[in-house]
Amino acid sequence: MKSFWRLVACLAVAYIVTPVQQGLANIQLVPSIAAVDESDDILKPGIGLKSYFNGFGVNIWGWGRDYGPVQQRSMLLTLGKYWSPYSFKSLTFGGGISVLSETTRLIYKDAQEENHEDTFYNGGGFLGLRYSYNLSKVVIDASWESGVFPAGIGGGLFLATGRKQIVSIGLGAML
Amino acid sequence: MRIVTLLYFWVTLILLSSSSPSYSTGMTLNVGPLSGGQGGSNPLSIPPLNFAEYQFIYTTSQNSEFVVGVIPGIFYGIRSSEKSPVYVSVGGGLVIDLNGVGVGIMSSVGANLFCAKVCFNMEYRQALAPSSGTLLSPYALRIGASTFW
Repeated sequence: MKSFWRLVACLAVAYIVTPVQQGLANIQLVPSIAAVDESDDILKPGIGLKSYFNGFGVNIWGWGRDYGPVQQRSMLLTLGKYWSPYSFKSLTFGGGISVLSETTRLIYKDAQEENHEDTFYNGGGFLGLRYSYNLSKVVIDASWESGVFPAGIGGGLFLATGRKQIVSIGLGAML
Repeated sequence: MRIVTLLYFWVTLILLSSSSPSYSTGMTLNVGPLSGGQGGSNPLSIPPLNFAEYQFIYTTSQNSEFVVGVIPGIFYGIRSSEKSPVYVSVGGGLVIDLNGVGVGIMSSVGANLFCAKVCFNMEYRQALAPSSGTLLSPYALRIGASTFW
């Protein structure tokens, strides 16, 4: 077993130190941890997987919390184009669309009430700000992303919105 | 999903067909509801007489911007220099939120559309500042008018 992990470590080091070539369309995969804010200044822990290729990014995030019989689970998918408007190329902006899924479950273990589950979906825009540093094939990444959603058709006309903000750091690889 | 896709293409079409503002010195006055840590924003006041919902931006020909608003705050930022109706900016300053005040960073995305002497402006601006174990993160989506000279 020890030799297996030694082999894995050797392969990982060999992969990292090999000079970057034009590989699979410059794909970056970055698993990340996140602090999620749902417009109430209360931070919740979340996880995500960010992927970037040829100036585009597809990121998926998940977070949730349990309190008493209530279980909340949320997922946010953002799709957008990333570009660097400044001479400082490590800083990129992302803009595009986002899709949100929010599930709330009422799970009664001891009480007589029936369990209940609701899932809502919403679509909106997204703005992302990303700093990344490439160390050979290793990608160190920090980002600040927001999905902004109109509060229904009537509310959206009067600029009423809801927002999910994700501040994250990640360590990934360039394929 | 079909509505989101249609909306996305509609916005893209407007941005592509719109005339670009000349990027020189200018100012923007816009108005929109605030979100300062109390949940999402409520609808815009009708009539829009709430001073706190207004924001003033002064831009220079060197792509700098000075932003004054109650929420998300007072900032100095650097705008993208592309000759496009759409702009992004990043900067820092005083972040103002209903749960506190702090020094932090700001980012925004906006567009100046249908420009004659005055452009229609639409902008989303957000800020982030550490404060007593949490992050203040106010934002606002506003519409208004810009003029450049």
